[in-house]
Amino acid sequence: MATSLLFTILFICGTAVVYYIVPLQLRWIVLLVASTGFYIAIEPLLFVIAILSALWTWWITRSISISPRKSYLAVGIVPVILSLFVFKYYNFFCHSAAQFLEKLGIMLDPAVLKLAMPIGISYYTFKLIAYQVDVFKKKYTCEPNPGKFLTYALFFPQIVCGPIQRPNQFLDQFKNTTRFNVHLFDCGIRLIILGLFKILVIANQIQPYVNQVYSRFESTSGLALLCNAFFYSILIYCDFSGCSDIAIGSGNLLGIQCPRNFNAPYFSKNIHEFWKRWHISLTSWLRDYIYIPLGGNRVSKPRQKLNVLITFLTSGLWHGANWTFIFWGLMHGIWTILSPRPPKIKADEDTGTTKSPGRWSVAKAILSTIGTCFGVTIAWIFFRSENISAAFRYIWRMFTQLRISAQAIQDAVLPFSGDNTSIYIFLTLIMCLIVFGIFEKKIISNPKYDDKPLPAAWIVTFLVLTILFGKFGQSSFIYANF
Amino acid sequence: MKRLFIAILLSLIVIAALIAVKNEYARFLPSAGLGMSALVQRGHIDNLFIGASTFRKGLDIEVLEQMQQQSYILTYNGNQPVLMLMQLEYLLRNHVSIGHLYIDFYPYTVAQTPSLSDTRLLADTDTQFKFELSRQLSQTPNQSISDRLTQLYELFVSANNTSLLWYPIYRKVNLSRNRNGGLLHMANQTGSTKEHLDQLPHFGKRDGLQPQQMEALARIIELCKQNQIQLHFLEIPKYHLLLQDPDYIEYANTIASFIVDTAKDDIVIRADQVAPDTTNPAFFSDLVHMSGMGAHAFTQALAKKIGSI
Repeated sequence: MATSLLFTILFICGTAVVYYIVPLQLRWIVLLVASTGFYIAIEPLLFVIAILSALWTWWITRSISISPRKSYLAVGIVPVILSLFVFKYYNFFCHSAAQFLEKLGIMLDPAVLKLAMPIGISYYTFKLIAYQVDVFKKKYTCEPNPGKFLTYALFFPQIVCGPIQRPNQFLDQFKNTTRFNVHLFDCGIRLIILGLFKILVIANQIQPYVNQVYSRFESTSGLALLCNAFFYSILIYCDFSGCSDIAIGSGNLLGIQCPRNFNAPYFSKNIHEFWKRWHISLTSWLRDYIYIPLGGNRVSKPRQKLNVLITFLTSGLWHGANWTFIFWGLMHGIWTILSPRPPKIKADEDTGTTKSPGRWSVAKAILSTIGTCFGVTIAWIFFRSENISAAFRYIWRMFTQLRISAQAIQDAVLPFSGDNTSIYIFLTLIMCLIVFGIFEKKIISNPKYDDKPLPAAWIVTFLVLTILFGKFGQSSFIYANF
Repeated sequence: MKRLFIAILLSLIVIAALIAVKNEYARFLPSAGLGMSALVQRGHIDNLFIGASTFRKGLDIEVLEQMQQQSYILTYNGNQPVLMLMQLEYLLRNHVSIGHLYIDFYPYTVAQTPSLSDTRLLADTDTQFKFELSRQLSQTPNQSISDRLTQLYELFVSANNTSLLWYPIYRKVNLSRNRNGGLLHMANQTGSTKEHLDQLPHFGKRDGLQPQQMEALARIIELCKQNQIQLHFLEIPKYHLLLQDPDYIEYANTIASFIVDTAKDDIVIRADQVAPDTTNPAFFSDLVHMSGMGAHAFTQALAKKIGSI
């Protein structure tokens, strides 16, 4: 129930009302109570695991802050990672090990744990690790109030799909003395409307199509598979970034600022740029807590490449306990290693301005964007498929069975509803995607709007489209599963 | 923020007005060759067939048109007795005179709780109809608040928005495929294979005949008597595997007896009284729906039967 959109929105509105009624210094208690209530509404037992992990982290970081020893850090981090491992990866590693040993002739019956994975475990675990490391590195002083720390660790708008907010970004905001930040509240409403549009109008409309095509891809035409691959790219982006927008927007309504998690990633010209624009909070976390501690760019070239690969494998594994995610991470890692870093645009020494791009540069930029988008789309096929072999079969069929004919186009459109209304759903979706694409290009990827509220005309457009064409009652929240 | 709220408020007012106009006046859009609005515009029909997709796929309008009388096939996916009664009431309220009325005799629709699976019905009707439909659907047991809200939203706000947005294309496509409510060029469409039909799953669990649906059947009979409409319940042939389903046999017999008892007349036309071979896979596209070829053969036999009624 707690992951349903209606419940989430109502819960946030109710919390916001209480939040602005109570005195400033007690507001964190409202957030903590609301977060506890939200978590318990999902699953009370799983809340216990989350709160135990958070309390352990708070307690150990007090020791770390007094005596910053690596052994203390290890003692702090290991149980947190262990709980993530047990709930998320134990069965996967047991099965994989048993399968491997079976090939060597050793038969083992893996002890399977029948445990439900706590929602948001990957997100709060990374938050807790970040906090411990930041305190250890003295980037952040230990939070003396356990209640405020628990509010950070379990902040309910960020439970389901993140973002993974850093402790300094969050906890410092409790020192804020503004009673009501109109600008932040305004930004929050706009972001929530944008998020609802992405989920209800785009993601929910595509979701049944993707599910249907993936369930019977071996008998689907190449054109339908190609369309489906692109639709899945759009689906995962709109579903996840929409959820992030609602989470950030809800935080804003409750007076909590959070940096942007996506920045029009499909307009990236290369894979390096893509990862600066996609799931920014995770990418920056991996950079700060995996890549840089491994040596980052300060080591030899081969070691640097290995670090990139390890970082992307971690990213793949973070997304789920399946070889498909690991393979997806590996693909992105190899692509990043092989792809040359784009040169930084230098300003003219005399005038201080950059040269306007010529026609060839524009064409090259468009081709690079299309190429990057296509590559990312192919990688998503591995991400979505049941296993790696199925993904290869999908891709093989997509290219070998690719024919363009009236029948193939009809087959590619039909899975939207299974009857002749598919064409109108498809046309409406394309119209909404064009509107959304223009918005992403003109507004989201424009640095001018980084600190400004999204333009009202666009927000009203999205609101109208959501009311008229939104598909309610079946939000999936793909990233809630990670 | 004030500007944003004003903009949101204004857009909500515009949307509300648009939705109100859609709910009341969408039915006056030029006919697309199917549905109730085309029938209301016509005003009189000799043979009216009201049913679900079984009727649409099981009756060949081109064969019916060869008869001396005017025929019209009014179908909506998943049409059930409760909805068919409402459609009949709506037609009568809009002064449509009907000679012979043929109601889809498909027992499994009587075993379903009232629900709307084809929102096209909403585009063909006025606001009053939608309120009545909403009232009927609200009587469904075990409905959560969230489900009810979603249902209301669909009924009054989101239904048919996509097809209305693209109405010129929608109309053109439908006019090329439909006439008098029926599908065109059916005769040459071949059916399935035995292997395919034999492996199709039978339908899932059913919870017995629904009182609301049975009451609707009785009310249809009563309404036809009041308006002097010649009423018949017509069973479209189903693939023989489905006809052997114990649930189907039991429900069909119960409903047939109920209709005969209520009408005090044998007005049920069972498939075996008319039908071609129900074991021929070429006549079916699945267990429930006929192929174009099957529909052609069945309708030819039915036309003779209708002529003799």
